[in-house]
Amino acid sequence: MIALARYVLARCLVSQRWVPPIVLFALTVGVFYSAGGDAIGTGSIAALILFPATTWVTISALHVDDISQITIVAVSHGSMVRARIATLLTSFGCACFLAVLSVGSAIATDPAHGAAGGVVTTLAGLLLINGLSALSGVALGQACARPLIPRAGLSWTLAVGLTIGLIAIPKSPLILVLAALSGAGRTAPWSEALPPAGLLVVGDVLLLGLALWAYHRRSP
Amino acid sequence: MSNEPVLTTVGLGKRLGRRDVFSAVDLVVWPGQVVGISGGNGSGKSTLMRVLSGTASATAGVLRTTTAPKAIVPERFVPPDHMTPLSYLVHMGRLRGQRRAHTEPRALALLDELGVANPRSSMLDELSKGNAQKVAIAQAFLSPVSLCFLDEPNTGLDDDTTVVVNAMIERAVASGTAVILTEHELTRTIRPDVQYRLQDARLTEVIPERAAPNDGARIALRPSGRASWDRLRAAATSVTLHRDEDVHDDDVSFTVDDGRVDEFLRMALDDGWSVRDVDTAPPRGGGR
Repeated sequence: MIALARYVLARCLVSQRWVPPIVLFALTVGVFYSAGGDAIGTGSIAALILFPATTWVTISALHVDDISQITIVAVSHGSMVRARIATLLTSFGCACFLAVLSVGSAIATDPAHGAAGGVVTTLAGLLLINGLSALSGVALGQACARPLIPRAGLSWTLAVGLTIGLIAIPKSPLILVLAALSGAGRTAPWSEALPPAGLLVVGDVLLLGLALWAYHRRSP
Repeated sequence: MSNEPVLTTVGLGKRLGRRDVFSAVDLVVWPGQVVGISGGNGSGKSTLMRVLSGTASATAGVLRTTTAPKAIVPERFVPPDHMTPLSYLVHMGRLRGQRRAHTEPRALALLDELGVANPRSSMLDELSKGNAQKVAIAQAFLSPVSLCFLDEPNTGLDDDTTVVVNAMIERAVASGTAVILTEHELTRTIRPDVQYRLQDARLTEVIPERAAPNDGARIALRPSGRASWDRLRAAATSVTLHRDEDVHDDDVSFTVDDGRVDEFLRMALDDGWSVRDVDTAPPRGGGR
């Protein structure tokens, strides 16, 4: 698994496909953080931006190799599905790395350094929000990638449409969960925030599982 | 060497839409066995290879393969961009659990044997089709595997390289690797132990006509400017100069005893000859 993660990282790094999503994420988050403010507020906005960035990174990682190379990697690694899971975990790992930087920056740029709602509560809330955002991004990215969506143009269009929808629609599951988590431990008890977060995790895992099953069935 | 087959299929089938690509494929492959599958364009050889290698699902039947490491050379290898052959092979070695310190010298030796120049500096996406194919072949032979799938491995390779690839296959087979290989016609590959033909969605075993014992091989060679005759004349049992319209005027056929074919081919390459053809020698006392 580690060898495959290294390979996927190396491929993404040298192909420079990571540049657009990560630069976009860094620039957008930088603009929000430069204004300062409450860590949980700015950190939640950054988590929202992490969602499309992770979707983009995931699709890039899944599209970086030709099918002949995917075949070589899958046979060498043991199975198509295991190789796919390793690629998804690599994308999730990259998103978590961004999330840690983002949460650190949110607390650092907060004048109270997250102490307003309690540092531990703020840190836990932000990490949960970002983790969920990253997981949702990986799940959506895989569902929009080939071979389920074989044409790259349609793949990107669908991904952009769905991410905008999930971010922009006020009552989308992602927005509801992020709103609940950002108030958890401060304006509302954790017991009210965790069930919807759990449901989102279940939804993401189901989407990942279904897409993996379809990938296994439709693998070239 | 294990007594268990490395691959078994029972009634394996693949259906795409309303068309059977292949059906009722029963196959047993043992360690150290070479299984050849021939067939025309679009006959389904590559689909069969993908199903056998586990990278595509079957629509009928059962496939059982060993859990030990496997390798594949796919048809039409499109190499990853912005990577050198060496770094690519090191990554592929790591995927099979090999350390860089072990993989790097092995990768360099394989690339040198196959004639890939500048493995540390050239980029895979800038290689010619033939050189990219050599890298694909090198990754398959990087480390010992139980089963190797070679889907038209000689595509884009010149005759001299084909001889090198065949020698690599022979070495792998000698160490216990089972090989399943496909070609349109199995004339440029090593002789399979079992040979099948995929036609009209059916895989049928081909029983080759047996040559008389000790007839050996007929090897057609073409000389270059520096080619030397002496060692080859001494090693061959007979020598024939070609003078017919179907072959190049300079080509020379040598008949060589079965046990000396590899040694003879290496000698020919060392002495500046190109290999044009390797075939079974016609039975003594009668032509074909």
